[in-house]
Amino acid sequence: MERRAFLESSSLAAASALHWLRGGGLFGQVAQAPPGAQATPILPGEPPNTIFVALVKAMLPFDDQRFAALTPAAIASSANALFGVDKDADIARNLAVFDSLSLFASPPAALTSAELAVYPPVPGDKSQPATVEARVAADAKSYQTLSAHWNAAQTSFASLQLQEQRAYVMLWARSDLGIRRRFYRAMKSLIMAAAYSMDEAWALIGYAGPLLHFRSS
Amino acid sequence: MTNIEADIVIVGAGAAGATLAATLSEYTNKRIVMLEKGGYYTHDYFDQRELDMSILYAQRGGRTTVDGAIPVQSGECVGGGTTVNFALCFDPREDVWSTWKRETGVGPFSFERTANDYGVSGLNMASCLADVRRRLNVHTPADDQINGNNHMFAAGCKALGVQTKRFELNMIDCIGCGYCGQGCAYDRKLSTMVTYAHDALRRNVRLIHHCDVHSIQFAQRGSQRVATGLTATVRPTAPGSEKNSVEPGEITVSAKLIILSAGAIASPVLLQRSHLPDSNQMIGRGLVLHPSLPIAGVFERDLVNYRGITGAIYSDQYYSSHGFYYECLFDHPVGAACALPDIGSEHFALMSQYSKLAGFGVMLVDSVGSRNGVVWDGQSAAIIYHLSEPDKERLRFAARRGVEIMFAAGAKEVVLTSDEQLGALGGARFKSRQDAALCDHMQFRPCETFLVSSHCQGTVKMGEDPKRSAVNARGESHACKNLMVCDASVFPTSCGANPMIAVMTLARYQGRRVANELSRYAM
Repeated sequence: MERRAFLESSSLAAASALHWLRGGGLFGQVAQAPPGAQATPILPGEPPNTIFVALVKAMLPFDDQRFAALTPAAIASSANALFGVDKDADIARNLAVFDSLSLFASPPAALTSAELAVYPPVPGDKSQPATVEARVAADAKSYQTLSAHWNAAQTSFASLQLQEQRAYVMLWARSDLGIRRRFYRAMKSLIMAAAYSMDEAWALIGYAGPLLHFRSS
Repeated sequence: MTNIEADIVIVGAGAAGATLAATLSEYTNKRIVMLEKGGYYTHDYFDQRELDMSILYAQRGGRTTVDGAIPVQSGECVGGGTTVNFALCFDPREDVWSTWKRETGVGPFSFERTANDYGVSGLNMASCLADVRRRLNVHTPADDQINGNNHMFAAGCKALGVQTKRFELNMIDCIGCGYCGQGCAYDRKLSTMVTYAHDALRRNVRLIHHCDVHSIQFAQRGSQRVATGLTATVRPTAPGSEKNSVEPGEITVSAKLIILSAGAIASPVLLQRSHLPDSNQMIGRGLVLHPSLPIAGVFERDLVNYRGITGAIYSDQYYSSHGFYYECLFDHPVGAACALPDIGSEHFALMSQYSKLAGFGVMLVDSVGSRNGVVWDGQSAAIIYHLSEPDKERLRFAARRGVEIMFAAGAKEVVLTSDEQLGALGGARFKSRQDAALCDHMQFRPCETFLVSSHCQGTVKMGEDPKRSAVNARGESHACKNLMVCDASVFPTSCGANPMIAVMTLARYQGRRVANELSRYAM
C-alpha cells in the first residue's frame, strides 16, 4: 500500500503514531529514502505480526473475563485494516527493535542518534540524564532490576510471560530515552484506537455510541 | 493550469477566513475567492464516530510537536476549528489587548462603542464583537442543559472555595448529543461553516476547497515588493464532501490583496515556503499553544458524561495569579483510551468504568518562548515547543489543585493522563486527596505525560517594530505590499482565553477596515 493510503485511513492520536513510525520511528527520520527502500534491514527474530499480537495482549486485558468478547486476533486485524500495521516495513523494523531484549541495554546507533536529534539535552532540565549515553545506562539499570528474576534464556519480548511483558512495556513508557517513550505512546495509540473504535468494545464499557437516530428532519 | 482572477483572495475558511469573506462581501462588491485546504463537509456527513471524523482535523489529528509530546490540533475543513470545537466563547480580553497596544504599539483596536477607528464610522472592537456574538447566537445555556460532569466540577470547586463561571456558547437549541468534536450533525452549533461561510457563499464568494496552496507570488515594483497571487493544487474532492468550484489540478489565483487566515501553523509555513524576506527571523517564532492537561475522576455511580453539553462550566479563579483555566471536558472512547494511563488490567480498570468517569482540564496560558515556533525545512513543517520551567511550575500547581477539586467533588480515584512514576504510586493515579501533593514532583517529560493543544497563536506577530514583529496592526506584512495575515498568528502573546471569538472579532474588524481602505490596495 502506498504511504498516502495509510495516512488517509488514520485517526487522531493514531495518526501521529503512524506518521512517526512511518517516518522511521526508533530509527529516526528516513523520509528522504525512496518509498520501499529499506535503509535498515529488518532484524532477524520473531515475525512482526507475532510481536504485534503479543503487544496487543500486553496492552489490553484479555486475561479479564469481561474482555472475553474481544480477541487479540480481532484487535490486530482491526489495526491492520485501519492502519496497515502488517504492511509497513518501518513498523516491522520498529517492532523488531522493541522485541529484541538484548537491544534494550545496548540500542542500535540509529536509535541513539535519533534520540539526540529529537530529544537533545536541555540546559537546566533535571527530568532525565543530560547525555544520551547516561540515559541508555539508566535504562539498562532499570532493565537489569526488572529482568533479574526472568528466565535467562529469554531473548524476545514475544516469548516473555504476560506480566513480564507488561512490566517491559512500562519500562518503555517510563524510559529515560524520549524516543522509547514515544514508541510506547505510538503503539498504545494504534492499539487503543483499533480496540475502542469497535462497537463490541463499547458494550463492555457502557458507551451507547452515536445518537444519529435523533437527527432532525 | 486554471487561472483565476480575483480582487481579494483569502487562504483559509475557518474562524478568520469565513468571517473575513462574509464581511468583505457584505461591505464591497469585489471579486473574492476563499481557498480551503480541507473538504467541505456538512451535517449529513457527520456520523459521530471518532475515527471517521478525524478527516475534519489537520493531518487527521495526527499533527504533533516534533518531540511527539503535544498533539497540535486544528480544524481543516470549511469552518476550520469552529466546526470541531466545543463552542466555548470568550470575548476578546480587553486587558490583553491593552497590553499589546502598550507593548507593541499596535492600535487602535478601540473597545469603546463610539470609536471610529481608521476614520471609519462605527468601526471598533466592541461593535465587531457585537456583530459576531449576534451572528453566532453567543449565549449562556439554560440551567437544565448542564450535564452531570459540569455539575460535579462546580460542586468540587464550591467545596474548596474555587469560583466557577458559566461558559457562553455559540449554539442554538443544542440537543446535547456530546459530539461537538466530530462536527454537529444537527447544525445546532453555529460554526462559521453554517454562518459566515454560508453568508459569503450566498453573496457569490467563490470557495475552492481541497486546495493546497504552495506559495505566494511576488513582483518587484520599484523598490517595493508586492504580492500578486498564489499557486495551488486542487486535489480531487473526497467522498462525502460538497462539490468543488473548479476541477482538480494546478491553479493560480491572482489578486490585489492576499489575506492569510490559515491558522498559526499553516500561515507562517506558507510565508516561509514563499521565501518572504524575514531578516529578523520573526516568522514562525514565539508560538504559544495553550498546553492542556486532562484530569479524570472515577465516581461511584453512572454519570454518562459523554452526553450533554461538554463544556458548560469553567473556572478562571487562578487566571491572574497562575495563568490557567479549568474547563470541563470529556472524551469519547478512543480519545479516552489513548489518553488514560497504564496498560492491561490497570488501564481497563479505568475504561471499564467509563460511564462513571468525570473530566475537566487545565488550560495553561503559556508564556512566549523565543525557541518555540514553526519551521519549514524545505520538506515539512516542524513545530518546536518546550514547556518553560516557570510554565511547568504553574502546571504542577494546577494539577495538584485540580486533583483536590476532583476529590472534593466526590471521586474515589483521580488520574492524570500521565504514566509518570510519582512517589509510591505506580503512575499519576491518586487514591486520596493527600496524594495530590505528589503533583509537585511532576516533570512533564515528552510522551510520558499526555498534554493536548488546540489553540496555536502568535507565530506572525503584529507590532509596529519590524525587528520584533512580522506584520503591522492592519495585519500587513512589514516586508511586502498587498499581503495581510489575519488569524491567531498575529497575536503577540496568548489572547488569554479560548481564541475563537477573539479571532472572529479581529477578522470582522479587519474586514470592515479593508472595505473602507480599498484604495490602499489599489482597488
